[in-house]
Amino acid sequence: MQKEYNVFKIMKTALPLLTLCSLFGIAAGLILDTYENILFALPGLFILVPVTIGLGGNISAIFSARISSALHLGTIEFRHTSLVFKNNVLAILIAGMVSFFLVGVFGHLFCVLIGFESPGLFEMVLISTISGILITMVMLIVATLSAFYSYNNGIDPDDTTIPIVTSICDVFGVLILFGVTMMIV
Amino acid sequence: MPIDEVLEEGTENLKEYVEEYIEEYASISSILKQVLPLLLICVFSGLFAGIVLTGMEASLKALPGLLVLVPAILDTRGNIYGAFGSRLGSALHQGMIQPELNKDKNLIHSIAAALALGGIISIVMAVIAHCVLLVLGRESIGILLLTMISLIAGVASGLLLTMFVLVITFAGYRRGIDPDNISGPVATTAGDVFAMLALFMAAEIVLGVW
Repeated sequence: MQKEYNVFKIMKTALPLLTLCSLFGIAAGLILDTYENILFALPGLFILVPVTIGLGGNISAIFSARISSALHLGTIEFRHTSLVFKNNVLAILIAGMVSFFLVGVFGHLFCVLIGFESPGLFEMVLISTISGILITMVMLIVATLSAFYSYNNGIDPDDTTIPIVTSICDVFGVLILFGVTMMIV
Repeated sequence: MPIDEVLEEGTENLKEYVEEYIEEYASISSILKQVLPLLLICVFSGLFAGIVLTGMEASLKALPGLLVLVPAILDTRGNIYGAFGSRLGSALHQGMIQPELNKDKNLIHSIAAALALGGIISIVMAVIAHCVLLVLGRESIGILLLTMISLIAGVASGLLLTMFVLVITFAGYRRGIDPDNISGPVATTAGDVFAMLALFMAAEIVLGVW
């Protein structure tokens, strides 16, 4: 049977999920709005907002896609002794740490180059790396739980985990970034 | 060890072979090698979006409520055009569409869906954001202005992203690159950049007209 794309069918499936995603996005936006004064007062924080949300979402999307494939292939078990699970967790933690460290370094560099205020190289790297590690750890838990929960309930984790983790990452990402920034600066 | 030799020797070695393969596939260094280049691109596109956002400080102060929309706009871009790219990839693999711009029904319907979703969700987001701000007793520039900014930004970035994803996916496929491997990252990274630029432009337009 030849499948055909239909604009209304695509929209009918996509709209509910997209609306749900925007609700999470708006929740993250409300947090930004609440701490607007801090955001405007603390230099260098603004530049970190989109990259923190984006990177956090990408890291958790990659992790959940890998876990989903491994579940389908049957190469993974939800146990700390499972090699595939352990290596994926460790690799993603390292990848998260490295990329958020680079965010701090280049974030400061770009601020200096463009003439935006920066809290300083050391502070920027510290804020970015600490919040990056925390976000990656939280998102590893969220991604693992949603992948295994979907799989155990007969739902294909490929369909569910990525929208779930990227949406949740918006809210946690912004909260953690603010928390860490307020502690350090 | 090559698989032929393993198979000749019998099934006992096959189990070992598979285990060895998984160990190599799931080794930390191989995962890092696959993941890090992509994340690096994401670092720079995200920082670029951050630079645009920092540059918008004055507009954000002049248009209360706009900040609430920022994460939602960034997110829905990646979701809509990531799905568009993944749909194009599946259709190319199945031979449902050809990698060229023509009046193919499947292609037109996919493009129409991506554009329409981008427009509709922009309005939905603005309306929800305004209502939530109202309920919480916070300042909002009003449902009309918020919707206008969101719609201008949504449609402008949507047009750009549709073309971008289409061109990259088709060009990649013709060169033998699996579109599934590129359309997702392309959509999310280009989505961040285009969405922030479009939002900046939309805010400037609305501020200029009002």
